Amino acid sequence: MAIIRSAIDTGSEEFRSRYAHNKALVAEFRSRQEAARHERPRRDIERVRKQGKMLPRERVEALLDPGTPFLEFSSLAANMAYDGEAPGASSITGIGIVSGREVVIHADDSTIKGGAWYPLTIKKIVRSLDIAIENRLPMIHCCDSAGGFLQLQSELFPDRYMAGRIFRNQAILSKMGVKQLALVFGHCTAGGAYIPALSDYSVIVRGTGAVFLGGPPLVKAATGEIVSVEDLGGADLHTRTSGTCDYPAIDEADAIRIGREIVSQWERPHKVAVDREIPEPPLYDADELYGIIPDAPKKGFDSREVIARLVDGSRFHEYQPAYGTTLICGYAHLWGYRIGILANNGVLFNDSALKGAHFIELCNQNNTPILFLQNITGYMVGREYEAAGITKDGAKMIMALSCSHVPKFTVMCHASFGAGNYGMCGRAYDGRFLFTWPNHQIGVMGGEQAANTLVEVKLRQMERTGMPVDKQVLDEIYNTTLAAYNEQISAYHSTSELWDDGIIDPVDTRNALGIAISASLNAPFGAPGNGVFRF
Amino acid sequence: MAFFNKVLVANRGEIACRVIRTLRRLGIASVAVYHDEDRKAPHVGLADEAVRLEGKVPSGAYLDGAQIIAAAKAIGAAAIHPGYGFLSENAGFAEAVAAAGLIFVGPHAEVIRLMGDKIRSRDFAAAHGVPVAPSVTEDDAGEDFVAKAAAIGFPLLIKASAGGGGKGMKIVRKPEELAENIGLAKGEAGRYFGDPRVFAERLVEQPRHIEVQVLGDGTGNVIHLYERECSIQRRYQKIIEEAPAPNLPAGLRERICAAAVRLASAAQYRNAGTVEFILGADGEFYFLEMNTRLQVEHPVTEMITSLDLVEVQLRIAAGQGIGHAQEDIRITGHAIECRICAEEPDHGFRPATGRIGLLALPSGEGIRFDGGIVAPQAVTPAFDSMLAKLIAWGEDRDTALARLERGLAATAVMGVPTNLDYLLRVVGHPVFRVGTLDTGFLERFAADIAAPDGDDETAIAAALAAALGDPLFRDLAFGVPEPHASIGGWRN
Amino acid sequence: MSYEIRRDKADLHLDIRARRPALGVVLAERLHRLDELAAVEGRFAIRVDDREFSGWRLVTSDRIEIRLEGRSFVFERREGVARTDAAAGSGDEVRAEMPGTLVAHHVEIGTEVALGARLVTIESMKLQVTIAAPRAGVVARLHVAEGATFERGAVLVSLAPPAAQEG
Repeated sequence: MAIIRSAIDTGSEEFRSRYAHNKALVAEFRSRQEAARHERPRRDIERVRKQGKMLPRERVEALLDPGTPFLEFSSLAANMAYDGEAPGASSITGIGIVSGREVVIHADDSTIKGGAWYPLTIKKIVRSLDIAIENRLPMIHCCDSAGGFLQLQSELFPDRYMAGRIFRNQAILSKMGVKQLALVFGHCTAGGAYIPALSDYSVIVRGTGAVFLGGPPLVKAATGEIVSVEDLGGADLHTRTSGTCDYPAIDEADAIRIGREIVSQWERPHKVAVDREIPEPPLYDADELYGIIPDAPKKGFDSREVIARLVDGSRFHEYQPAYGTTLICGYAHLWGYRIGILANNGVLFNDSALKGAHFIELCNQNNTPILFLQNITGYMVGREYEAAGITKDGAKMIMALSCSHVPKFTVMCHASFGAGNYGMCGRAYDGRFLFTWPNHQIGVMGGEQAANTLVEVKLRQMERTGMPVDKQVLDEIYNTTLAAYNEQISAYHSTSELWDDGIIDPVDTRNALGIAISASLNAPFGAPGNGVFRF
Repeated sequence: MAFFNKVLVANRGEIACRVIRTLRRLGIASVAVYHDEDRKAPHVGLADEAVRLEGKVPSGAYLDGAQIIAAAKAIGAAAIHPGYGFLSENAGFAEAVAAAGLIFVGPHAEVIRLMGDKIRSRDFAAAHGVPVAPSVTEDDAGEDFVAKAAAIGFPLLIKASAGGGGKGMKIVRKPEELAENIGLAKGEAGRYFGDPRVFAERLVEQPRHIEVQVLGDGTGNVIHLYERECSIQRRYQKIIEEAPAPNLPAGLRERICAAAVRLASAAQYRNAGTVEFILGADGEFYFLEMNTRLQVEHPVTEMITSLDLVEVQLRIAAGQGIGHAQEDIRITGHAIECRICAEEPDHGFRPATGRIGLLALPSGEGIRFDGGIVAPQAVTPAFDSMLAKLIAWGEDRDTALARLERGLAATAVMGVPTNLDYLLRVVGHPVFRVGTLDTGFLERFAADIAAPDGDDETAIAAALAAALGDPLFRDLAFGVPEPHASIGGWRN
Repeated sequence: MSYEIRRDKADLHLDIRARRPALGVVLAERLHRLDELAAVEGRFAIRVDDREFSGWRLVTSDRIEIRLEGRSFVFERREGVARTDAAAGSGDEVRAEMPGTLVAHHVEIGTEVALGARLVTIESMKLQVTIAAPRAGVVARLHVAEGATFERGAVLVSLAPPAAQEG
């Protein structure tokens, strides 16, 4: 495989200004992340300490094998929702190593409103269970939640992907033979009580852990019965009498020790046997990505420069190097795993769309996971392209993608607008993981295009109705549209709504993908439905 | 010229193994005896035949003379070698063996009796011109006790006649304190033992324990194999012995050896035996006792004389004489022995038990290991805590010391606490290196010899090596899949 | 979670920081590079940072002994050594899980009992069962006399806290 020869001049003015710009963006991302993870009212931290409990992140760290990575998902979920009341959507999810096994961890964050589930909390937990199902990863739940956030019950209770989905997913996971362990550190109230109940194994901490459908106040209101937390749903009740939990623990550290020992009994996974090379780091420093990513949405870049900073030895076998050149396709290795890469290098034309559809099928035939690097403003528009069947060709790409059986991964590198988002494995296309860089923008179209489009529509309406053209009205439409779009197309909005699995620092992309690819190999690939069409 | 056709070894452990090895070399059939608890012990496997002994208490079986004599007769052994300990200094047993028509590899019963009696043996020694520590008893002296005690010279030790264990014992350094201390000692003796009588004895300060190996044929013909230094003692028991004694003036050596020969000859001693002396810093030496058997530390004498003492014992027992004349005995080089015991030196040398799970023995030029242990083997409180002896020989003391250190470091007896580390620290002590020894050595330098703290490089390495031996740690260290192991403690 | 091993009554914490290219282990606040060079039948050889060590290692069910450079080290393994038994009960009353007859008391009022100590033997369904103390404590009351019968759920023994914990 040929080494990508970088054309980047790290001494150039352009590199330096892009570098400074992106470094600032990452600094902002890190500061928002730090706040979401650790900034809590002192009173809440003290309450946790007084109860002899660990903070949720301390639990996760204690659970993990020492010196192993943790790929955290959606650390900024809900950052633009609920007036910022639920940082990280009141929960921690991610993939880590426990007793030598890859597992998904979900931990309630009881330092926020007693760990109550907001609508986006539920979306995040459901997503973590989906990750477990799609990748057949065992799951560990660190339970400490007061239950649903009642003020928003209509947004979290009844629909298909709301709270009920958590328990449905747990049942499906168990049916698939994928193990689940619940560590009951705090309260599991109401719906939350089903998490340990539906886990294959459960540990409960004496004194602080409790599981019940209705807590003491609800019981008193409903039946008048006065009962203590411990008697209603404590460790002794559930491990001696009800059998709802399996192992009593004397404290949280003991629960974690027991939990780790349980996981060490689980059979090791039989992963898909893909070819794997000895990994080698990229030839170029990932830090240079900051100087490559443009400092404005409209500016482009050669995506080979990004590939060169992600893959092993910066080696890339480029497919159809002379055809459909606005979409770069080819094979490379990442952490030793062979992957196929589709990376935008401009607008998708007919030929680049056909090339993409074809390469997706080749990867399926070759049992090779696919990485999509999105920087797409859309499929080309205009009479000439419609006449050449641009919609039909884009549809081929979506068809190939949707029917693909190999694991798919998407990194939102810079821009994702219009149907290009679909063809390049946007969120709707069941990629196993999707990560976003902090500079990224996403929307049906760019803010300026949307504002211009709406102004154009208004202008036509004015002309059609014979109204005088009011420049002030048009300016207002332009400005409000642009402002609304700019907020909605930002990476922070995207990640707040869980349209991705989290914003990541570009230099972390290689590690995140390595862990993601490894995780994906726990589920069998399936078989292609047809041969490879040469479109 | 075989001494016997078949010999029964009435012992266990390292000494049984050691005796059987010589029997084997001489082409004499060997018979081991064992209690059930020892049925897998090495001495049983090493012997040509083995006889099981009954006994509720394991050590009781090896002390059951009648049973052992019956076994010897039944199996057709001509002689019984008692080793050391157990029945080796039991005059009744020696008589019973003879009465059964068998040969006891040891002295006449009468000599055993004589030397086994502290008062009689001391009087016997004094009567034959062997120096004994000057002393006077209250009974003999009567009214003149204080004066006669003062006449012995200072420092003096006042001891209770009926006592032991330090109760009623006083050290007196000045004449003017004598009367008062006798009073105090009598008071304590009366309180503790109900008998206020005391006696006074010359106190030998910083004494060395020097003993002489003798060989006698029972007719008064006695030779010596020079001395051994056994001053390194803990709880009045030797742990390191060497031969010859370091820094012993030639004239003094001759006088001590001559005294030992005089005593043994007077007793018409038969067998190998040891005459023990206390040697003061002033060069005065006094008779302590005579051991009428093979000593634990006999190998150091063997190493410097190239004699096999068990062989000589058998020759004498067979009535074939000593086989060596005094002028044939030459000392070559220096030998040091360490006793490897199952004990905890850091906890008052308390005996330890456990199961030997791993055993590694040293080897190399000048290294001798007399053991009676295998792995796996249980170490129980039923028997003495000594497991084995490591002996190193060299052309000179420094060479022997270097080999001893290497040998100790190359020895591993694991699964039961031992004094191996402690021995190495003693041997490495600068005062020990120069050979300035006395029986108070271990107590005086206890702080120097204490176990190190254990947070140095070796201790760190040991902890890491231990972790690598634990499946739990190995799982943590090596059970992590790729690429996670390579990515390490990364967080996004 | 870090690995723990115990020497001389003190816990040592070994924290693995890295696995590639070699194990990186923090012990006593220092990071050490650890390479396993050999391990054959009780002999081991390791490299710690730049120094090689070889010695003997004996692993038993509860201990690991190391002999290295003329020194012996005994480590207690933490796995399998129950600290406090969380499965033990916390209640003060020991109840019958089925109806039966009380065969024998093994304790008296005031007896200090450890976790798992024999309290009473009962007979039920032609089977004698000995009831063990669900936790450490002092026997406060024996509710059923020897030879007497009891119903399911009857309190057999009451326990008070262990003497040391009183006050």
